[in-house]
Amino acid sequence: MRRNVWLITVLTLLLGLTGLVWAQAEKASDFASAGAPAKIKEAIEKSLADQGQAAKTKEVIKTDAEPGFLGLKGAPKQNLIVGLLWAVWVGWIFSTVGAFGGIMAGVGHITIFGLADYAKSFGKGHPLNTTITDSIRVSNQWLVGLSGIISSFNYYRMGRLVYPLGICLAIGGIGGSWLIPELTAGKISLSRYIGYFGIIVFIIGLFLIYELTPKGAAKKKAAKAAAAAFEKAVKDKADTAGQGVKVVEGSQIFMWIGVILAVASALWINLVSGSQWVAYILIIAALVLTIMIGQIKFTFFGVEFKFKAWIPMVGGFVIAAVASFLGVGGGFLYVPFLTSVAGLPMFLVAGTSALAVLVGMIASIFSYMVGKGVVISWGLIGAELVGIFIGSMIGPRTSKYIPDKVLKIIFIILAFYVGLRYTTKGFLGYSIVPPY
Amino acid sequence: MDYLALFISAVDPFLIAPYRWLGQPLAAWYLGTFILCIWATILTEITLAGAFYLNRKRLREVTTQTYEFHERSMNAKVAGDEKSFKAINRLANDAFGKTFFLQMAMGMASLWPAFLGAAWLQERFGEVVFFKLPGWLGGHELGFVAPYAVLYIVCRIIFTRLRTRIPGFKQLIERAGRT
Repeated sequence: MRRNVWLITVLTLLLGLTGLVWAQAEKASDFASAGAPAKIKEAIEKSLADQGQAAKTKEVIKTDAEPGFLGLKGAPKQNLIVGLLWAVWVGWIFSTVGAFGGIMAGVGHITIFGLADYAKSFGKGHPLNTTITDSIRVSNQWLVGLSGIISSFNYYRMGRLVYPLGICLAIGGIGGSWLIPELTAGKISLSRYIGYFGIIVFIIGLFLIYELTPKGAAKKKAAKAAAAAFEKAVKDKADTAGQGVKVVEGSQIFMWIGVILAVASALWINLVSGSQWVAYILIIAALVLTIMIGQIKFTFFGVEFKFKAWIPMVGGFVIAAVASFLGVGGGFLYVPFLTSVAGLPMFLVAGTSALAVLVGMIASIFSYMVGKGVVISWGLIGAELVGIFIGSMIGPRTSKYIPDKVLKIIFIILAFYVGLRYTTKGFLGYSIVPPY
Repeated sequence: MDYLALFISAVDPFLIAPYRWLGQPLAAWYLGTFILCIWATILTEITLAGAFYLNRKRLREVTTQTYEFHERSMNAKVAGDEKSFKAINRLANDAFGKTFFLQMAMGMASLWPAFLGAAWLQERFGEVVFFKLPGWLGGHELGFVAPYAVLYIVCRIIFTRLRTRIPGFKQLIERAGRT
C-alpha cells in the first residue's frame, strides 16, 4: 500500500509540473489572442526580432482574423468533426490490428488538421514553425503514452512486472526521453520531422511485408505447430511454487542508485537553469552503473531466465529516443525487442514494457512541456479521445468480417503511402503521391 | 464553427457554479476543481464500464488466445525446447498485441472527460499562477494543471474504493466484468 502511495505521489508530482508552461502571464500580441500560451507569444516576439522572420510572421498571421490553433490569429481552427472522425479511425485500428494506431494518430495531427502545412508556411527555422512542430510531437506522445498509464497499474496489480527489467529499461528510457527534447526541441522544422516520420512508417511497412512472405508465413505455421504440440500442461506445473517472479541475481544497489541518478538528471536538465553539464554527468553515471549491474537472473513458472542489464538499458534508450523524437513507436517496439533480444516470455515483457512506456512518456512530456515550454491543445486531445473510444467499440464488431491477412495488406498499402508521401514531402519539399 | 468553444460555453455556467460557493478564492477554486474532478471521474467510470461491457466477447477471445499461447510457450521452456519457446512466444506477442491495444484504446479513451475539463480550465484559469518554485529550481511558476492533475488522481483513487457502495455503480461494474 505504501509503495502504491509513493508511486502515485511521484507520478502525480511529475505530471503536475506540466502545468508550469501555462502560468506565465504576458501582454497580448497583435498576432495571437490574449489567452494564447506564453510559449506562442515568445515565439512571435523572437520572430519579430529578426527582419526576415518578422516579414514571414506578418505575411502568414492575419491580424484581423479569428484566433485558431494555440491562439494564433488566422491559424487553422480545430475542426472537431474531422478530428473526431479521424480519431474513430485511429480507435478502430487500435482495436483491430493493434499497432499502427499511434502512427495514424500522428498522421491526424500532421495532415488531417492542417497543422503541418500551417507550420511549414512560416518557413524553415522560423520559431513558430518549430514551436508548432514540437506541439505536434508532444500531442502524439500524449495519445500513445496514455496507454502506459492505464496498463501499468493493471499489470502491477497482476504481479506481471519484473522490476529489475523495468528499472534497466527506465534508466535507458529516461536518458533517451530527455536527451532528445534537450537536443531537438525548437530545432526541428516541420519538413524534417515529417521526413523522419515517413522513414519510420516505411520500416514498419517492411516488417509487415515480411510476415506475408513465404518465409514469414512458414515461420508462423511452424510456431502454431509447436504451440499445438505443447498444448497439454506439464504434469507438475500446477503445483509449482515458483510461478511468480523471483529475482535470484543482480546488484540491487547499483540498480536503485542508477534509477535515482537518471531521474535526478531529468529533473536537473528541466528545472535548473545553468550548469547543464551536471545532468549529462548524472545520466552517464546512471548508464555506467547499469552496465556494472552485470547479469540479472530471475525465476518464473519454475524456470530460470537471465539477461545482461545493459541490453534493456540500451534498448530502452534507443526506443525512448525514437518515441520522444517522433511521438510514436514506444509501445510496440519494447515487446518484440525484449522477447527477441533478451529472450523473455511475453507474459512478463508485456507488463514491464507498459511501465517503460509510462516512464518514457512522463520523462519526455516533462522535458518538452516543462523544460522547453512546448504547448498542446487540451480540447483537441479530449475530442480525439472521444473518437478513439467510439472506434474501439466499432473495431471488435467488424474484425470478425475482415481476415487478419486482409487487414495486414490494407496497412501495408497505407504504410507505403504514408511513408512515401511524408518522406518525399519532408526531404524533397514535394510529395510524389497525391495530393501533391 | 468552433465546436470546442461552443461546448465550453455551454458547460461553463454548470461548471463555474461550485467555484462561487465559498468566499475565499483559493479554497473556492480547490472545491470547484474537486467537484469538476468528481464529474470527470463519474463520466470516465461510466465510459469504461460501457466499453468493457460492449467489448466483453472480443476481450474474452483475445485474452484467452494470449494466455493459451503463453502457457504453451512456458511448457516448451520447461521441456527445454528453446526453439519452440521462442516461436510460440512470438505468437503470444501477436495475440497480446491485439489484447493490449484494444484495452489501451478503451482505457485511454475513457480519459476524455479529464482532457475536456482541462480545456475548460485553460479558458477560465489559464493565466492564474498557483505556486512559484524557488530560484534554485528555475523559479518556474505553476499553473492550473499541477493541482488539477493531483486532485483528479486522488478522486480516481477514492472513487475506486467507494464505487461498489454507490447505488447503481456496483451493478454497472459487475455487468461490465470490472470487479
